[in-house]
Amino acid sequence: MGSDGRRSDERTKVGLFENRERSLALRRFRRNKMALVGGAILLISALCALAAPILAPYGPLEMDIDHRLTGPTARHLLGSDMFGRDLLSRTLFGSRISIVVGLSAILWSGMVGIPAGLIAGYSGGLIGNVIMRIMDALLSFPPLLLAIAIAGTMGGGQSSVIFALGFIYVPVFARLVRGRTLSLSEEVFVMSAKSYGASAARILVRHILPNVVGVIVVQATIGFSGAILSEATLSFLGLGVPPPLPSWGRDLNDGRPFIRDAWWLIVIPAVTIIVNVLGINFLGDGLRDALDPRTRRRT
Amino acid sequence: MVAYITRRLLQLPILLLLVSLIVFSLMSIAPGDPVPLMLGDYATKESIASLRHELGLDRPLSVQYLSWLGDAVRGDLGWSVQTRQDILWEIRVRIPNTLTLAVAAMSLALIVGIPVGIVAAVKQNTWVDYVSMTFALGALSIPSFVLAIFLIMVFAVYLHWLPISGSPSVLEDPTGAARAMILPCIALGARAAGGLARMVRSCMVEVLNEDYITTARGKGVRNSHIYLRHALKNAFIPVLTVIGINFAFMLGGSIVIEQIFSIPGIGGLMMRGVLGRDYPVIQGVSLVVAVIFVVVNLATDVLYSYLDPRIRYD
Repeated sequence: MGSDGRRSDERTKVGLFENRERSLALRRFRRNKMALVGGAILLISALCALAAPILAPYGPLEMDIDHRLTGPTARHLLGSDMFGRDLLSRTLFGSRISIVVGLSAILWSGMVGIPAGLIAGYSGGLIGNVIMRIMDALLSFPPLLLAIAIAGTMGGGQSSVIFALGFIYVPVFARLVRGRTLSLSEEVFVMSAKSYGASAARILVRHILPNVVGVIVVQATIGFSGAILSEATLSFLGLGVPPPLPSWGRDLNDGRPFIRDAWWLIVIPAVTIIVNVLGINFLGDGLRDALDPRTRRRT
Repeated sequence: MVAYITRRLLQLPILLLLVSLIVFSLMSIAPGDPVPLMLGDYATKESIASLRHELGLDRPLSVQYLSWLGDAVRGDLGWSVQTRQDILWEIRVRIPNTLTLAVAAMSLALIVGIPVGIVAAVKQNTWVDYVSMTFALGALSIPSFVLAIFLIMVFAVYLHWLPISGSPSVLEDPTGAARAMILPCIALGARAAGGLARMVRSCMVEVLNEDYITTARGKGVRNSHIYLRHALKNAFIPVLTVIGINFAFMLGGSIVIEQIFSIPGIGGLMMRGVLGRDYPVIQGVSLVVAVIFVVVNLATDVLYSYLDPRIRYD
């Protein structure tokens, strides 16, 4: 009875502490208006992607042959391209591809990189060394070059872009998680878990992983914007989703021959890419400030 | 410090070996059999078999890797399937263009980024600071290929100030070559300039709060002297890492910029390899760029540990 009471007491204490931490984090986050703006941009983008079929006035592949290369008009709010396709609709549907590619790339790199980092950080020794040397080797390529080499060798297309971009972030996650795991392994709560005989898997999943989630979320956000940007770059180079599917990067490249006569073919996809990347970067900065006060930018 | 440098140098061969393994494995992720893809739709069975034999693909993987690695170490990266040229020769011909572009872009980033960072730090929390840091963040957030297209649109298409693309020979047309470099340099260097400005600012702000700066002020040292001799010198050490990292990243970024401005560098070669399914070219360029990348990073780290002996690496 008594011991039970004490335990629940501790639990409330811990709970209170967590709540306070959380509300402080929330306050810091709110204070960071840029992060809110970034979050809003990302939310709008996600909504656009979800509701693209409802919002878009035309299908992304629908051609309006009589109204090719028209500037912004009532018929085509953001203008039309060389095939008479509506740019607004293509931009809305393009956000689906950007988000799907970005999310999938980050998901699979996290699925590989996080366990790799946990194992390398906790077990150390030969296994840890081998894992980290492989990660170092992956980090020895300029990321864009590695992505182009992988996606290009695989023949381009959506799945090869996801695979290639994931590869860029596997070592990033692994290094980050390994560093955190190394320092957490020295903490008292891990030591005590070890002392009552918890298995390595249990310690990693129940004790260390929850304490690494914060940095993972921040890294995932930053990686997400990087992945969206890289997807646009690869599509721009002709390695992304195959035509005629809408993609911001390729639409920008397709507009290049018309740079003299149809500015909207350049400006619309370009601004879309910039706004999205900027938005996610703002959010990532804000999350980092909120979750980890130690790394707050000094002003 | 000596121990650190020695350890890094000892790790280098292992790292390069793993890098070569990754580059070699690229071939294995090609969908299906790469040989018919390289030869195109009209390849006969005999030509496929002969190319496979020529590339050594009929041997076991481990033998393939060892012979490929042995050749690479001796400077033989094989030949391009498309042009039948020696790949190392193709890289050697093009790499000066890529390095010129990267060095010029880095110089531009230094010339713009460092003064902006200094001024922002000195005028901390004034409108000068906010405006320059907003620009820096903007430069960091605009993808280089988007910036490149915007620059072409404004300065080449509408204003006709600068050429859209091409790279005239420096010997035959020096001004033309310089003019052709301006837009690619800005497009490639803007990101580094923004990063540098932010880094210089935050390091300077930190240093300016140190006691020795207060002492120097107290002694009546001129402001310009404090900023440049006392503060910048110490703020420069972390900045150096940013320079190294950015330079290394430019090698990747130049692929897109070279493609947009039709600069005959190794980025263009890489794209030719990728679009033409010329796997030996992809492998050759990846290997050479990775080696440069590794060496630049190592040099940066070593220089960093030399300049700031307080830094301990584990």
